Order: sequence, then structure tokens, then C-alpha cells
Amino acid sequence: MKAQIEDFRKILSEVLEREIHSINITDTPKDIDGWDSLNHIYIIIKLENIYNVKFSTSQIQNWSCINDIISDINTLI
Amino acid sequence: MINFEIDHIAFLTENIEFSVVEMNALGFALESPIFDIIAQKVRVCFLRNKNNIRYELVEPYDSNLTLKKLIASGLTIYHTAYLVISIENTTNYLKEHGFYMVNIFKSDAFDGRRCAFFVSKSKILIELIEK
Repeated sequence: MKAQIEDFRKILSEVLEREIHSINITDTPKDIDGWDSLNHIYIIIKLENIYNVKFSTSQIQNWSCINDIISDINTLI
Repeated sequence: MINFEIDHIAFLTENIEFSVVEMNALGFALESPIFDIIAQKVRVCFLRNKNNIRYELVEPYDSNLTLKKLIASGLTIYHTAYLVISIENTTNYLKEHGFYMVNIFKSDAFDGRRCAFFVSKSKILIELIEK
């Protein structure tokens, strides 16, 4: 099952412990209150667990927006 | 096996000056100024007791939502910091053992030395400080 932006929105809401009502694929961590460097890692850990994938360091470093993350998930699954 | 020499244990507080007074009562004396670490949105200071145990107090800015949330949840033990010879060498070791690097930075609180935060899958947060 391919990852969709709605799945990512739910995961983001869980990690940030507040309801994120809408996100765009072009959003970056700076666009979302509370998406700091520590929560970024918690998001990665949650995504790896849910999709049973392992991101490489270079993949993570190349993420600039939500679309990059979803795209890498779908490449790995 | 890398030698993880404990430098300090960090506690979160809503009011660093108030917590310093509390720690004084427990025999911990302030051994640093209170640093403003703007990049990390925190104020920090260090205290030591006669047993040579070193504590860091960390007061998040109001805009530091993650740490504010931890305090609100009742969690005040924040991280353990270790002195290491090389962050790079230790990074490889920690990644092999399931830790993720959060960030790497130079800290005014450690004379400009390099530091890095890592977190494990079970959310154990550690800091490395280069000797």
C-alpha cells in the first residue's frame, strides 16, 4: 500500500500530539509548529516502524519537503 | 567498545533560577553562568556536588514547544551527556546500535566544543560532547 499525504498527516499529528488538520506536499518542517529536530527523528522512527523500511542517511539529508519523504517511502516499500 | 564517560545529567525546569536554589539545598553548587543557547531555544547552567556529580538545568524558551510539552507531561529528566574523543567515530557506533542523530552543533556552554544529540527507538536521549 502506497503512502499518501493523508497517512503522513495522521502520523504527524500523533508525533506532535495535536491534530494537524491540513498539510501540503510542499510543506517543510518550518511550516509546521513543533516539527523540530527531535520530533523529526520521532517521525522517522514511526515511519520506519509503520512501513517496515529503513531510510539511508543520504535520503534523510535530501528531504526538503513532505513530498520527498512520501516519495522515499514509496520507493522503499 | 567506546568509553562513554558521563559528563552530566540534564533536567528540564520551567524556572532555572528557582531550580538552582532547590539544587543548592541538595548540595549542588552552581559552577557556570546561565547560558542563553538561542539556537536551541533554551537557557542552561551547570551544578556540581561533593561527589563530583554534575547536573545541567535546562529551561526552554516559551517557543520551544517540544521541551515545554515534556515538562507539562511531568517529565524532567531530559538527557545524559557523555564525553567522547570523536563524535564521528561514536556516531558510527551509535547508528550501528539503533541510535539516530538529532543534530550536531558547537556549544557556548562547552567552550565552543562540538556536541551532538542522539535518540534511540525507545526515546532515550543522549548528548555527546567532544573532549
